[in-house]
Amino acid sequence: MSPTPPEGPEVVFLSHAVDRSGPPVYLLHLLGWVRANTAARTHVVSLTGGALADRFREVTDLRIVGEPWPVRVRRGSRPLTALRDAARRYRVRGLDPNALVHVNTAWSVRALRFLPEHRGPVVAHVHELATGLDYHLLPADRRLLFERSDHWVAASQAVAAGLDRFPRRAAEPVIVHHEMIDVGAIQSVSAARVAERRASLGVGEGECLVGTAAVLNWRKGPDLFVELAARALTAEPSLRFAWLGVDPTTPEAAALRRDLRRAGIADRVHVVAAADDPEVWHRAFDAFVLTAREDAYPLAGLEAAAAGRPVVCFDAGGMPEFVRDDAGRVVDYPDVGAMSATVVDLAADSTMRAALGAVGARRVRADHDVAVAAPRLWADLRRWAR
Amino acid sequence: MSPTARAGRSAAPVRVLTGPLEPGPDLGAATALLRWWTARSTPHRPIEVVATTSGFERDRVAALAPVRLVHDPAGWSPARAAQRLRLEPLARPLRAVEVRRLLAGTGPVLVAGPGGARLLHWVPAAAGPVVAVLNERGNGLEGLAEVDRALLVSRVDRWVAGSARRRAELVEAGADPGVIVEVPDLVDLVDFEGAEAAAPDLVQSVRAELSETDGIDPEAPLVVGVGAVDWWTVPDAFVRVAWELLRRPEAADVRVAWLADGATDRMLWPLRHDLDHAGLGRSVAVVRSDRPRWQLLAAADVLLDTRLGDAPAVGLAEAEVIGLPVVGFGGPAPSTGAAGLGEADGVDRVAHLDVDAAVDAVLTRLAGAAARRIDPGRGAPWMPAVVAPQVAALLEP
Repeated sequence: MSPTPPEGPEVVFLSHAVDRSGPPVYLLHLLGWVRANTAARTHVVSLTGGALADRFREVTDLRIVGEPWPVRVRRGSRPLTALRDAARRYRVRGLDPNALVHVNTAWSVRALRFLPEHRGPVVAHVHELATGLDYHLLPADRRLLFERSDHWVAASQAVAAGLDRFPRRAAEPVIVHHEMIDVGAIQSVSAARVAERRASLGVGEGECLVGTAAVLNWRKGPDLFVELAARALTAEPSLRFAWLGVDPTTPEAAALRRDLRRAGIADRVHVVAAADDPEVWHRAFDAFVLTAREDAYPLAGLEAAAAGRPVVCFDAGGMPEFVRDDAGRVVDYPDVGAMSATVVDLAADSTMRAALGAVGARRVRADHDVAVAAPRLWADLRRWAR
Repeated sequence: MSPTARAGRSAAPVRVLTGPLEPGPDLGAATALLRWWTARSTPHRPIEVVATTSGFERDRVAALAPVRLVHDPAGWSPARAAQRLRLEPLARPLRAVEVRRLLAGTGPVLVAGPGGARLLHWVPAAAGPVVAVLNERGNGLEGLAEVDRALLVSRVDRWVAGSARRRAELVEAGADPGVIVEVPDLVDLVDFEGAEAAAPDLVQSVRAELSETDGIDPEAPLVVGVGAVDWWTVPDAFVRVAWELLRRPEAADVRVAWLADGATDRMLWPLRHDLDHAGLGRSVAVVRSDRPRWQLLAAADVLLDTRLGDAPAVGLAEAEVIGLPVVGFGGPAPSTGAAGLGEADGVDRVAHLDVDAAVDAVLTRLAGAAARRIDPGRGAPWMPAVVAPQVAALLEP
């Protein structure tokens, strides 16, 4: 007798990658919860691979369509492009054309081109602000996103406001589902591992370590971070800083080190490679700063808050929606001087840090833990699946 | 060499070898030389430019001389086709054949800065003379791979050093001091020569144009940054300095502008977005003008050099030639090397990313600013009419 087919809707998730950047991590959290709590059939169609590919395969059917070819074959190579696209369509064979398609980031909409037979509903889950929607997304891809999407989810109110600048085919409003993280993983980190991590940087018991975590690019403001650290160290030379999540082989890492060296603070600011256990680093930090010029709702900020650390950010993007006035501090963009003064004040006041951190930790547990946020999003996805 | 061989060699084109066709002092000097060369009324030897890759300046260079690219990502040469098919073992020898063919010939070779040194590997031994330029403001030898530096030093017949500092660098690298000629960097100032007579009118007309197109008060003190948009090296810190400057009460009447230097709308998007985000969308202009860069700089009062990267900033040479004060980050910047001009009298360097110190320096400069003027005498040592003939003479067999 053949096994009984699983019940529940079939959902195809489109991802630009399965790496450690925020949206794929978010998707992995969601899929893990869906796998554990529902009988839904899920597939992930990813344009490129990444470090989390194996973890995705543990919880879903992963199809990487983009590798080994580049995203776009250059002009003049029509036959090669056709060949490449045929190979990609072959890789996504067998998917139900009526399944719900969840486009996880606007950038991932390019994968929709490889589902030409698809007739089911499409949910656009946007994690991008203006830089992603207006600058990086090509006009043809933006048109595809807005013409094909039936339902809209935004990663923050800031993202939702940005979407309202574009005419949408679907009349229903954008629903905000803030990002989610695995709170338990952060809170279960042992004190010994935290102490070991701080010791690896030479940070002493009484010293204050101010951290951030992000890939290195202009949008994340590494130049602002260097200026912030230089200003703060002028006021309080005992401070230590760390940027977590750096690929040391990239030109961007070399540029960050160059700026730190030229600013004369390379011995007080640590450049830390991407880690499998960022939660340990977040516990090792005493405060978290976000120098991003624009960020939808960064997971790193939530992870820091879950670790009980105050978050300092600019009034840019979605992070202020979380921080408000009681889980850290929000300063005007691009007032690096004010951010620096805030960091120095927090460094000197462990009571204040603990109070702000406690509020943030409570807020993350209440609203952003996978156990809370995943079922909320899944309820909407189920409703939209035919 | 026999007269026949000499005649044959003289008919061969001069090949100018460069790195990527991107803005910078090395390519700027080469462009100025090409312009001088092509503008001469007497018949001259044909010239072609061989660049490692294309870049933002390609059209400007191609307007002066044919440009051939060693690596063209958009092209469909056999080597590139093999590379697209991921057949690197096949692509490599095909590429070597193509580059050898590209650089075949026996004429003179001008290595216009260390960026073109790598191409010497494929220049036939019979070609020559090989003349290499090491501009004072350009890239030095330190960025070259050891194998390229050794080849450059052994293969070059004559050197042009932009300063005594560059001469010493060459000697230290093993170059024969007897074949090094010290010649100031060529500065690419289109239409500069003869501009002194029209100087006051020129500044006024530029300011009137900026008033009309960008709403910049013709009488307001003007602080500018300049360059192509190369994120994390040029305009990001510019936005920070502009923001801190414009919140100071003493800067109430100051205007700030980014001279876009031919950048496209797409290239300018992040800058405009960042300015809007910082609340500077109305108070900092992004100027796009067809005028030569030096004319726009001549109409300003201070140039902000907020470049964070290693390559020399665009606009510094022009600023020095026209006497425009510069405020920037970092240690002492190289000067053009001529006596009496240089870092001390025109450039204020503050600590890296010390935005407050940069703002203080700008305000100090503005407080002491003389009436805007163009001082053509300052530029004389760097003008093509003076420098280019010296370089061209070295290329004669």
